[in-house]
Amino acid sequence: MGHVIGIDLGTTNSCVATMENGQPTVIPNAGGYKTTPSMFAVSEDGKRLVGHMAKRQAITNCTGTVYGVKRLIGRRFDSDEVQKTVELAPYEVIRGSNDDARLQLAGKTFTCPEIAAIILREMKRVAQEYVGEPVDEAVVTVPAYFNDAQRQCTKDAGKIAGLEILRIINEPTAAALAYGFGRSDEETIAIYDLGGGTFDISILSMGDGVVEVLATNGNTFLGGEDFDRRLVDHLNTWFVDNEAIDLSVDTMAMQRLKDAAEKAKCDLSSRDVTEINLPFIATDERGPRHLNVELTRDTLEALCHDLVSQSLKTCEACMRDAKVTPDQVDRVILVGGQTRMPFLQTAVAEFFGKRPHKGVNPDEVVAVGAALQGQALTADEKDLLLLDVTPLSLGIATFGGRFAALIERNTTVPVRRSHIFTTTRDNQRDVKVRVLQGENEVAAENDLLGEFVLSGIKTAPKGELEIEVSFDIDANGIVNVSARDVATGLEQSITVNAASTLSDEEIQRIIEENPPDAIALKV
Amino acid sequence: MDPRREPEDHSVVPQQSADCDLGRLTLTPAEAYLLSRVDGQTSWGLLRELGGMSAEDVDACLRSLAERGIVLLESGKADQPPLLGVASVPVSDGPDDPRLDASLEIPVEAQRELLRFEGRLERPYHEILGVTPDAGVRELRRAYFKLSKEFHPDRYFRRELGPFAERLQRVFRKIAEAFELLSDPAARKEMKTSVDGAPAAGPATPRLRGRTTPHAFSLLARIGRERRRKARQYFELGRASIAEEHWVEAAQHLRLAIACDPANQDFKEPFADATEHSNQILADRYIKEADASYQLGEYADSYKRYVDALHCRPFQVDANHRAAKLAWRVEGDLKAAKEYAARACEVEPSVALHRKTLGQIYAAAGLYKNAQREFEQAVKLDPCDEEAKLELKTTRRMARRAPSGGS
Repeated sequence: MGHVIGIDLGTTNSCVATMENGQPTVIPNAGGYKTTPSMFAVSEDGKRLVGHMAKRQAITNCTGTVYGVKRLIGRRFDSDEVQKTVELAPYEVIRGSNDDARLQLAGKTFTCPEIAAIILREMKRVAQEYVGEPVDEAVVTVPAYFNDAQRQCTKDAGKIAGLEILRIINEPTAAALAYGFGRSDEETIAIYDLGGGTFDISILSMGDGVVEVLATNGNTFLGGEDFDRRLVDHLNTWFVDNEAIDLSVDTMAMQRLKDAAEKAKCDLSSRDVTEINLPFIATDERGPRHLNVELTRDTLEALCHDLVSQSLKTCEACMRDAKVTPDQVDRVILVGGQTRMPFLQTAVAEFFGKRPHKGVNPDEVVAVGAALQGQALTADEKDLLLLDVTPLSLGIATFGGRFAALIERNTTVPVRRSHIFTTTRDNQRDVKVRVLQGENEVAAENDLLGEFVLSGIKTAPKGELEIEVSFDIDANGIVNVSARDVATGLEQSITVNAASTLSDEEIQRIIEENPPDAIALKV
Repeated sequence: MDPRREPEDHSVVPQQSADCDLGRLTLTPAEAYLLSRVDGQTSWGLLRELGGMSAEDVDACLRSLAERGIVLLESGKADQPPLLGVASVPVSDGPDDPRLDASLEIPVEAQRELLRFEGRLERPYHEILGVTPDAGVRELRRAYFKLSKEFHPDRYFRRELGPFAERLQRVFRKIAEAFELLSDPAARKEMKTSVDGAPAAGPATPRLRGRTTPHAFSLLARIGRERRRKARQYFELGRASIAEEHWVEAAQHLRLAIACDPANQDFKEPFADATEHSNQILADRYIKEADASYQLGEYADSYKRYVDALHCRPFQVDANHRAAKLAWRVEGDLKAAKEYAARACEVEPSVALHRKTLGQIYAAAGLYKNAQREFEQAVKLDPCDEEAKLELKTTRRMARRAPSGGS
C-alpha cells in the first residue's frame, strides 16, 4: 500500500504529514519549513507561484496574490463572510455563475476549489519529494464548523489536485487523534483550536485507541487574523492621529501593515514590548512618511481580550452539548498558532481550572492527526478508531418555515433517524422535502443541501397522511434522505451531494486546464 | 391432535433464537401469533394460559418452532440476561450458514460474529453492549469502545463486504444508539420506569411519558412509529383473513393491530366484526370437542373446553349448563358451578332442568333457602319431575334446620 498523507489545509498555513515506520512524521518543504503559506499568486509576467514564493512577493503584487481562500470556499457570494473579504482583501472577489465567490487574478477567473487545489497539489508535491514515490491518497482536515457545501468543495479541490480524499475530518478531532496516539488512558480532553481563520472547540473522550467526539462547536468568524485586523486598525488609527493619513485606502500599505501586525503579535508572545517600523509607508506634500511605533503586550491584550472571551463563550456552549463540566476535563490541548499568546493561555487555564497541555506542536498536530486517520483507514491492523460526529444538525423545512432537525448536531455517524410528518392541506398531492443543515429554528436561516418532491401521494384530509422522512449518514458523511408515504409505500429519495459549487464537468475542465506539472514550482 | 411425547417442562422460558430473520420465515398465523408472545420472559406454562390459542396448540406450535430452531427451549434463566461474549445464547450458525461468504474481504469468523450480533439487535440495550442493567458511564463507554473497534464500518474501509456492509452499518448504529441512550441518565430513567426495570431496545417498550429532550423524543417517535408500522402490518393481515373468511385468524391479527396502535379507530369496527364471527366459530368448535370428550368420559378435558367455549359465547345455554354440572361434579368448584348454572337460568328462565341443577348446586353449597327457591321453580315448570320434588322436600327440611342460610 502506498503512502497516505494527512493535510492540514489551513487558512493561513498548510501542513502535511505521513506515517513512517509506524510513526507520524511532519514533512518539511524544500525550504526546510514544516508549514507552507496557503497562498497563491499570479505574477505580472503570468508566472504562477505558491507557498513561500507567493508570500514573498505578496506585498509588491497584492492584487495578484490570494490568501485565506478557506474563508471563501463553499460560501455564497452574498454571505457576510465573503462580503467582509471583498471589503478587506486586496485581491478581487467576484460573483461566480452559481452565486459562489470567485477570484480574479491577472485577468483570469479562478474558483475557490481551484485555488485550494493548487495548495493541496503543492502539499502533495512536498510529500512526494520526501517519500520518493507518487502519493495519491489523503485525509484532509477542515474546521469542525464547516458545513456540507464547504466540505464538498474541499473534496472537489482534492479531485482537481489529483488526490483521492479518503476522508474529510475535523481539525480538532485530528488534533485529538494525534494527542491520543500511543496513549491508552481513559481521558476526557478539550481541544481549543484557534487557527488563522477559525475557532473550534471540541470535547472528546478517549481510551483503548478509540477517540469519540462528544461535542464540537466553533466560530468561523473568529481566528488569528481577527487579532491581526485589530492591530492593523489600531496602527492605522495611530497613523491617522499622528500623520493625518488614512492608510486603509492604500492596498499596498495595508499589506505591509498586516505583515507587520502579524509579526508584532508573534513577538509579543515572548516579549513585553516590540517596535513596529515601516519606513516610507506613505507620502504626502510633506514628503515620505514613516510608521514607527512601540507596541506593548498590554495594548495587544486590551485590543483583543473580547475575542478571547468570545471563544470561551463558545467553549461553554460546547461543554453543555457534551454534558461535561470544566473540572471533568482531564486535559486541555491548544492548537493553532494564535494559542501561543500568553494572555489566551492564562484565560483558557482559568476557564478549565488547569494548565493547558504543552506536549503537542500547535502548528503540526492537525496534519499529524490526519496522517494517523489515513493510516487507521487503510492499514490492516486497526489499533486506532475515530468515532466522529455530524457537526451541524440536519433536518427538513416544515409548515410555517420552521426547521425540524432529524439528526441533532454531535450525533455519532453512521446514523439513521426518521420521523413521521403529515400534510398541511386537504387533498395535497405532493410534498416538497427541503433538506437543511444548521442550528436555526427558522428554516430559511439554515443551509439548503437539496430538495425533492414526493408526488402522487394518496389524497386525504390534511393531517391524516403519514409521510416518513428518513435521514441516513454513512461513515463517510454521505447523507441520504428519503420520504415515504406510509400508507402506500410510495418512496422518493436523494443522496445529498452538497450544494457543490462545481459540477463534475467543471471539475473535469479545470483538471484538463491545469495539468499536474504546470505549477510544480520550487520554493 | 399431537401424539404425547415425553412430558414437557412448562417452566421453561422459550426464547427467540438470536439468529432467525423473522422476515424470511414461513409461519402459520398461529405460530406467528405465538412467536409474538415469546419474549424471553414468559414461561411455556404462562404462554399456554395466555388465551387466544388452546394450550395444545401452544404446545404444538412451540414444538414446531423449536424444531426449526426459531425458538430455543433450553431452560435458560430469564432474569439473568446473557452477557456478551459468554455466548449463553446458542446460535444456529453452523459452518453451512448460507449467508457466510468466504470470497468477501471480511473474515468468515467476523461474518459469523456479525450475524450473531445482528440477531440480537432487538435485545435490551444493556445486553447489546454486554453490560449489566445498572452499569455506570465508564463501564458503558468501555464496552462501547470495545464494540466500536469491532463493528465500526471504518474497520473495513474500502473493503468488499457484499451484504455485510449494510449489516455492519446496522449493527454499529444500534451500538451507538444503545450507548447514547444508556449514558444519558434522563433517557435511561425513562426507559426504566416505562418497562419495569428492563430497558428494552425495540418495540417491546410500550410507551414513554412525554419529555421534550431530543433523546426521549426521538426514542418515543421511533417506538411509536415502529408500533404503528407493526399495527398496520397486522391490520393488513387481518383484512386479508377477513377476505378469505378466516375469522379466527382475522380476529387474532386485528387484536394485535389494536394492541400496537390503540388509538387507530379504523381497526375497531373490523375487529368487532371479526371477533364476533371468530367467537361463533371457536365456540362451536370447542363445544363439539367438549361434547366428544364428554361422551368418552374425559370429563376434565370436557370441562376445560366448555369453559373455552363460554369465553367466546358466554350465553350459550347448554354449554353453561354442562359446564355447571362438570364444575360441580368433576372439579368440585361450586362457585363456578353456581355462576354457570345461574347464567343458564338467566338466559332461559323456564327450563326446569337448569333450575334443578342450580338448586342442586346451592344445596351442595349448603345454601338451602336458595336451593329451595330453585327447586320450587323447577317443580312448577315440570310438575312430573319426581327427583325435583324429592330434592325440594329434603331442602325444605334442611332450610328449616339451618335458618341462617341466605344467599
